[in-house]
Amino acid sequence: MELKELDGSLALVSSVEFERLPHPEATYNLGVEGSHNYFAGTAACTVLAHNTDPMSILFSRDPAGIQASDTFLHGDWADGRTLGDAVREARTLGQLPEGLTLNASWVNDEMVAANNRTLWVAQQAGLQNVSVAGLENDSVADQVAKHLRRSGGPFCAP
Amino acid sequence: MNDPALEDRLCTSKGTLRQIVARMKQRFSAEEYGAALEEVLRLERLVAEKRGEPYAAKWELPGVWDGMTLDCTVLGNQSKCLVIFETKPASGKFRILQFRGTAGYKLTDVGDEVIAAHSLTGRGLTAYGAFLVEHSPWIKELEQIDRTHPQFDAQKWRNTKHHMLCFKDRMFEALATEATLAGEAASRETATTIALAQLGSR
Repeated sequence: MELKELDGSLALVSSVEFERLPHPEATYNLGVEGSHNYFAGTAACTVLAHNTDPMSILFSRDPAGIQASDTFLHGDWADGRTLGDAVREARTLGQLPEGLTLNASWVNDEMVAANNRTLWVAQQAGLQNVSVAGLENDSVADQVAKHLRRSGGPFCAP
Repeated sequence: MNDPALEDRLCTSKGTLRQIVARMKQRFSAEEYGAALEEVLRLERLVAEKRGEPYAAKWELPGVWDGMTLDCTVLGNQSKCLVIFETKPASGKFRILQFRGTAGYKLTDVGDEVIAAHSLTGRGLTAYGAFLVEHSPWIKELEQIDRTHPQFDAQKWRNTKHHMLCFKDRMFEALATEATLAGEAASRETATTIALAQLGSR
């Protein structure tokens, strides 16, 4: 696996180790005030990470049109379950349920969602952090651009 | 017939569009992106026309088209169909489009997340648009079938247009000789009642 360093070069992850703790310990995701994007690591190896408060991500279409009774169209959740079902599961898990991935793109230094229903779920569930995918993906960026062109967005949380 | 100069212009305009997307993080203007996208689509259509290929031409349908509406309701019989959709998400305003002289209509799950794989993408088609398909393969296919009838009417097929509405989550298509605005309402239920009455009338 490769990770991006502060200077843009790539750092190779040569091994991963697991440590079993004698007792469960509370762990927390990292959030950095004022920035949705941060570098973590040591001076010798600093990597780019995206671990973002969903409330700081903008919608690419008006979220006023999104409802709990809406359904998903693609992926594991396109089986009739609603956004409301996903919110309940996200609240229980404390994270987005398996099968839901939030894609977003950078627009004028703001993170803007491509899949607005998934962002809506994360916000309604009150999640503190979500993992964001697609930030370097041209097709996600193009989808966000097309949304913004039509919707007149971006839009803040409803 | 290929036109190398035209295809070069298309290639350049696609490059411009890619550059706009690539610098979105620092600077993005929806107007600039929209203008560049429209230029790409315009050239795609010209190239397809030169080659004699099917393409999606812009359709100035009756009433304003928003494009961000999720989907629609379709009512139909053998000669016409009516499409009901909210003019803009959460607007509470519903519009009814009537297609007459229909040879076919369909609602498919081609939404904005998969439209890039549609055969007309790269030939004038883009998400959230309203289009008329020129050199439509669907019209050709049905005309070929109809040609076997002893009273085959070639003029009917000359008058038939392939209409395409790209909602956010769905794509509606109709082969029809006429498309008109049949009414507006403040709720989907009222719009459906109006549409049902229209369906029953001549």
